[in-house]
Amino acid sequence: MKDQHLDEDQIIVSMVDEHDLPGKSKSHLETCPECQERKGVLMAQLEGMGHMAKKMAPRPRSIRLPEPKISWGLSFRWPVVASGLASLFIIVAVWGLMFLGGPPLKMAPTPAGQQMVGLSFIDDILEDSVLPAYYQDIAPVSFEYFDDAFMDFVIPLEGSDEDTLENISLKKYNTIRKEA
Amino acid sequence: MVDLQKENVPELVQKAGAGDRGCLEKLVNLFHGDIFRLVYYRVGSRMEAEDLTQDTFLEMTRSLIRLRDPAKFKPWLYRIALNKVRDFHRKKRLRAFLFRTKLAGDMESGEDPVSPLGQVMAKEFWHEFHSMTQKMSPKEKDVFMLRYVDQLGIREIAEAMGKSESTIKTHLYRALRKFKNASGFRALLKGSVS
Repeated sequence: MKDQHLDEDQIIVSMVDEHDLPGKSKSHLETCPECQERKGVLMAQLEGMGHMAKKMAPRPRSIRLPEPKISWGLSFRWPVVASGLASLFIIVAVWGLMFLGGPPLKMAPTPAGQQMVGLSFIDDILEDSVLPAYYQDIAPVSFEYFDDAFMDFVIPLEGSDEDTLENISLKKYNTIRKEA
Repeated sequence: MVDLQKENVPELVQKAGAGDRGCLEKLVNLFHGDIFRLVYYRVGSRMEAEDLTQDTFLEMTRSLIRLRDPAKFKPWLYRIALNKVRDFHRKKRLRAFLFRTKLAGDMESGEDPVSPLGQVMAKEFWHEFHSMTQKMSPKEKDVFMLRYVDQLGIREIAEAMGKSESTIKTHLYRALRKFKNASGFRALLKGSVS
């Protein structure tokens, strides 16, 4: 029976997972005290190593988990909410002056009219071009900043995206995949 | 002290994920010691281990809601801890490279009151342990430590490391061969076991 003893590799395989041993070796290990002892010595050493490692590690100090987050509320986030409301009020006020404040404001020679320069400046921005016609005639560049092709590229028209470069490439890729 | 065997971990995980603070604290108490030791064995410094353990549990608290299978909580938690350790070593190596500092190798002894003999024994143990594991590849070392120092099963290791069970077994087989050939370390263990 001695020639049937497990070799070193088989002992190690049995330590990793006994089910990985071939049936004959497995049944031998179950009945042979010598092979069981060889395996047992190694297993005991590994177990001892685990115990020693645990014994020689310091004890951990307790840890503190963070407090659960408080849900969004006025009392907790009041500065954020207050500044948000203030911003909203300013926006509403400006828009109200612009659209609901009666006829458009015009520059007037009076001092009160001069105070409205700021608001007329907003009107200037909203115009297509702030330059008088004379300066536009002598200006070297066109004041049509963005031509139609560029605008179409930035903001495609609905339904016009079928033939973009990406879609053509994707169609081609899908066709090649289908052919393959 | 909370007993891991007596607790229904998946149930605790479910409740903690739903926002039960008591269950979350119970989970932390259950695994705190194990995770701390896992980190300490790999980092070698009590302070660093405590910081990384804290980080691990913070990450756990944040991500618990995304854990789909509560039964896999343990390997999932170990994976977080292992990732923290890996990040720590990467940063340490980067710092050592940039500032030309030396990487510390020895285990720091804990601050617990230990007798001088105990300190000598601990130092010798860790020295021999590191000499033995240095002969292993990083993967072999990880698997070996998870199996016999952190006491995880093969399936748990596979889940914690994100590998197949057969890969884990292969690494473990190679590591055990190296362990068997480490006569110095085994002699030390023989003395302690007998």
